[in-house]
Amino acid sequence: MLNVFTTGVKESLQFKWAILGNVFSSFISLFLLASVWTVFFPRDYLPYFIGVYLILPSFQVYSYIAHEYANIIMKGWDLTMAKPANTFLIKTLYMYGTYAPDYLINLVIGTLTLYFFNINFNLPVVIVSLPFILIFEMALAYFITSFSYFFYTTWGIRVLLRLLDTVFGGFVFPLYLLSEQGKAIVFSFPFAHKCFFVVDGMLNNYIPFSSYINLVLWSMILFIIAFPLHKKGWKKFEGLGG
Amino acid sequence: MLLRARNITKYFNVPAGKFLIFPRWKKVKVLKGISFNIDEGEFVALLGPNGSGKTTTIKILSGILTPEEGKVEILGYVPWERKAEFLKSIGVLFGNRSNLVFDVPLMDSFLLLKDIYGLSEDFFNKRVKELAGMLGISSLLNTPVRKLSFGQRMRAEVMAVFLHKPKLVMLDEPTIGLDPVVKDEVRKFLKNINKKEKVTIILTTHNIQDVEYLCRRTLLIKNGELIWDGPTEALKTKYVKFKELEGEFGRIKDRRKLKALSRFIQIKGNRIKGKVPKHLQIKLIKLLFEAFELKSLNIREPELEEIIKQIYGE
Repeated sequence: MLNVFTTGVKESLQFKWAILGNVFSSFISLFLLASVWTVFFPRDYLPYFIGVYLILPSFQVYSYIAHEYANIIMKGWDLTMAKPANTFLIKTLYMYGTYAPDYLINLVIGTLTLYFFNINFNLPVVIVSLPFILIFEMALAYFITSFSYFFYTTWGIRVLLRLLDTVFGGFVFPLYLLSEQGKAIVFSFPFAHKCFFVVDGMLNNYIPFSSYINLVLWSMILFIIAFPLHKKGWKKFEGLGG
Repeated sequence: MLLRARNITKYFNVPAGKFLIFPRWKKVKVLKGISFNIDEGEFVALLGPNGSGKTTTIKILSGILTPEEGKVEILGYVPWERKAEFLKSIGVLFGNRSNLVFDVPLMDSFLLLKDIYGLSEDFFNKRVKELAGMLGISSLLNTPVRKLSFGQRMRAEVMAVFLHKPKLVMLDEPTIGLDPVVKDEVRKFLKNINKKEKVTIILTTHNIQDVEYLCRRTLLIKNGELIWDGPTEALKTKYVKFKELEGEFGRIKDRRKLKALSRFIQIKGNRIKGKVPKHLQIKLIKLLFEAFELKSLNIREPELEEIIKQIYGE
């Protein structure tokens, strides 16, 4: 299935100007956001935000995968359904492929920016964490798409999960600021483990092993809930439209 | 036997009136127990008016939909169990759905299919060369799909379906929207590959020329029921109720005979034209010879398209 991923990469590379645009917008966003953060948060948190927005920029590919898949169900069906491959897996790998060049560019910019500000960081922590993040994102997309057979659109659940992801993941404010009780609640969800803990680990050279366990457990839970729903949904599926 | 379908029945849920929050559904039977067999190497047309159940049948045969009742066995597999070996032995093309990736060169779409179908490098290279040559798209392999014309893209779509050398191919409107030249090329390709590789092809189309050129056998579905399963030529024998008649005469020999003919033919100048019921044709032709001094007389069966229109409309 590697070709599915590489085709996604090739598709993304067809639009080189769009990638350059993304590079430019990454810089602009960081500059603007950094100006706002320094008003609300001490300057100490700047490396954290560079990490969140450049090293792990909007790792919310699950939302796009879920959108693509739900679109197929809503609009009827897709020819991948008549092929010896899983449509969901094809869409996921393809989507990961299309986002790969963007992500790599962000990663390079993020790394250079951290060097520029003379901030110590440990990139291998991010590299090791990436497979766990990608598996969790896939599980989350699989979970969301299971609803598409029954409600056709998954817009509501996607918005809700992206909101939880953004807040609980540490995109809006550094989760260090939470109270102990708040941390206990937020850290039981997977979102902090796919962003906050990774960035913290990258900056402080330490990531708790339990963070990976959390992501794996949540991935398993989501797959276990979604699998029978997909099976039931497939039987219910009417594939309307010629 | 390659395909055996028995009593396929499929229901769809449709809204039963307006609703505020909770929809109410009613079940509509879209396939009413259709049965047929298809042998290896056959080229079969699956015809029917819009909404008759053709596409649903194809979706069931390709494992996309599960029927509520009935049995289907293709190459020993039940399609909706979606075994990889079964899916590797079929190919599906729907005129309005694409097998290709729009923003990458055509070859990348084929490489993707190579991966999905697990084709060997050697087989893939030979197959691409062979099919691209047959369809006249060898020079387009490195062109992004979005830059292809509609005719070029449809030929590429057809190639994509046959790339893994399937045993059964289901084509839905493969010539829709094509100009006559490309249409002819696609038809010739389909005829050749059916003959050469003994691939079984099921074709659903509204283009009767496709059927006449390609399919010896026709299945006709109407309102979810299979109303015809037999040779395409025999459709005419069964459904032709009239023959069309046209002729030229020198003079009228017997005016009394004209009265009996007036229900079936019109006279314009020295020409006659009309529709003669099949069961009366001998009698009426005899009368024509008695009534007119005929210079010429053409009697022909209506075109298949006319017959299909008549069946759809009944």
